[in-house]
Amino acid sequence: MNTITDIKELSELRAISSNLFNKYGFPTKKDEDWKKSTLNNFLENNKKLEIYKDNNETIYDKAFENFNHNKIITVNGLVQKIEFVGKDKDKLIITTINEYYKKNNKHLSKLFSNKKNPLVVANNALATSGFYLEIKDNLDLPIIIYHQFNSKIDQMQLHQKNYIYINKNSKAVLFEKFINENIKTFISINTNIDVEKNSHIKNYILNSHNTENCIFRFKKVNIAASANYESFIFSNITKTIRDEVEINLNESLAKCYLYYTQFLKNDEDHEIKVKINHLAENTQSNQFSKSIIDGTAKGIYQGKIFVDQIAQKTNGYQLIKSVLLSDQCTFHSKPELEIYADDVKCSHGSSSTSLNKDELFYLMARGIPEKQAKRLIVQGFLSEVIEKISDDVFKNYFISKTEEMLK
Amino acid sequence: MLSIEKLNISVGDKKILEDFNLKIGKGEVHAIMGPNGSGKSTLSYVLAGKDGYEVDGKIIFKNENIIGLPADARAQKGIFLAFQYPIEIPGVFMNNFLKTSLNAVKKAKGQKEVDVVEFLSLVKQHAKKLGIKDEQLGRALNVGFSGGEKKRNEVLQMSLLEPDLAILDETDSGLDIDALKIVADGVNALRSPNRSFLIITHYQRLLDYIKPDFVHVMVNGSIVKTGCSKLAQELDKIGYKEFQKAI
Repeated sequence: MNTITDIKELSELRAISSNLFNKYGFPTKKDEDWKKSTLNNFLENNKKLEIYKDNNETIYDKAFENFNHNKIITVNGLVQKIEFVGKDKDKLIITTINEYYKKNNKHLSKLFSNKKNPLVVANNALATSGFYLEIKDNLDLPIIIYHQFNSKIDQMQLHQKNYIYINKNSKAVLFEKFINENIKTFISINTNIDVEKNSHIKNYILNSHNTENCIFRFKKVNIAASANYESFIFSNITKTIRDEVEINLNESLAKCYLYYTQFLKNDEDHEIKVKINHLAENTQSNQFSKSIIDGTAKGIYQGKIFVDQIAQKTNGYQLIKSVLLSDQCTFHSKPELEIYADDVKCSHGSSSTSLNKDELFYLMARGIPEKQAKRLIVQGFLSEVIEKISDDVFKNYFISKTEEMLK
Repeated sequence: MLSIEKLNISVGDKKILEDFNLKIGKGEVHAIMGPNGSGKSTLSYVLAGKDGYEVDGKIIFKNENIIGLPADARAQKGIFLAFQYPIEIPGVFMNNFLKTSLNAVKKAKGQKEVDVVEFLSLVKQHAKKLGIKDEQLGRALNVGFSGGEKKRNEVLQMSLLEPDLAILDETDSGLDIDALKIVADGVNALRSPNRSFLIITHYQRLLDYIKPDFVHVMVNGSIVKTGCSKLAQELDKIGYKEFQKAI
């Protein structure tokens, strides 16, 4: 393992974060941002989890997708294997985050800038694993990051910090797949993404079969002029997971598109928290989320659009829809707008309904059995979001995942 | 084909149909005409198996009392309702919906289900006759369809499913003259000695194109007069007021 204790800047930043965490402690229901969170109970009951630091890992290769792609495999937070293909080999750089710290020790503060979120400051203080990924040019193939976690980290806490840098004029698709074979672990993944001028990044996430751990994923994305960030998170069979993103649209014509679908049943849950900061003129953001909730499951969406006073001509759009299939399930939606500029176009809408009985009757009146009719409606409801995915390969991938999920 | 006996329908305290009786023989075309609020659409929903109504009496379809059967079972047995207001379902695509529906009905009848190639050829053939463009078949069900496109889509579904009893609930509303002719031609093409129709309408104009064997006047949940197709022409002149007064 790399020794990085001699980097003075890093030690100082960690000490600041450590002090802040000692002041805040783990979030509780008293904190407005964590009021409905299901992570609180886990964290309250597991304050003393040992911190995982080992790095001798085994790769689980059955999770690999069978189409052509650049592979990055991390196990318990550390990169264990990379396979970059063809010309993409020259366009990608990957190192451990510690190597990055060593080489760039004068520019670390931006990676440690969050001073408010208790779990992010805990990550800043404690993270020892993670990677630095640089995309230098347009990629021919997508990158898939296989985040694997195994039983070596059972009942421990793991803090991972990543930094992804997308050079100007680059296009890339980044798909993240999480494979959890561990239990009762607290996993915190904090990823900073810088999307430079005129670059386009598509970041898709399959968040499935994660029910035994408490997972907090925080992303901070800085978007430069004429650059785009598109993300889609597909969540199914998840529990005690919070996906949080903070987007800074820093320069003119920066755009972000955040899409989510959730299908939660039994006692599953998933939280989404979004904050979009419009910090320059002519920036655009679009949030579109659809959830199907059943059983005693719980879905949460907190989405805030902030428009700075200099961010004239902002276009911010947010639409959150959920269908509740049972009497016991819940969906909490908290849309927020905070606008300081006067020439902006911002809208937000949120609705929770039960399954539309007229739609069901229409399909059944055509001979389609009730169960199959409900499945068609649910699939149709979610597919409106999936259709927005601009990469056709992954659009089809998630359509088939949805079909698989509804079988 | 269909025998409705002493049918009572209510929602809460409100009675919509009271002691309603109607017999439709094989191959017959019946029209029910009546003013707004007379219970015509409720009758069509109840025949198709919609929930939410208290229903008492008998609905005998092909010698079986179907009261209590869900809508899918009734459709599989051969009842088809062309909706007055076809429902828009975002994200459910026409082709997928039509194939699922056709195969569900075929499966229930013990017939071989169609594969994608057979389905596409069949649906295009039917769509062409009704002036429905291929592009429409790739869109979400009824989403963004004009009134005329929705009604044509209903007739397309009817021609694919080949029901024994087709109930057309104000299929003429929202259609211009040309579309009305196309829809009527589509319905007429389906007329056969083994297929019966129940056409619900306010106006006589649809019946100019689809000649009914019987015309019934329905007011306040009951049939108050039955006659031949000439009755429809009379109604067009005198309206429903006379019948409402009588009650």
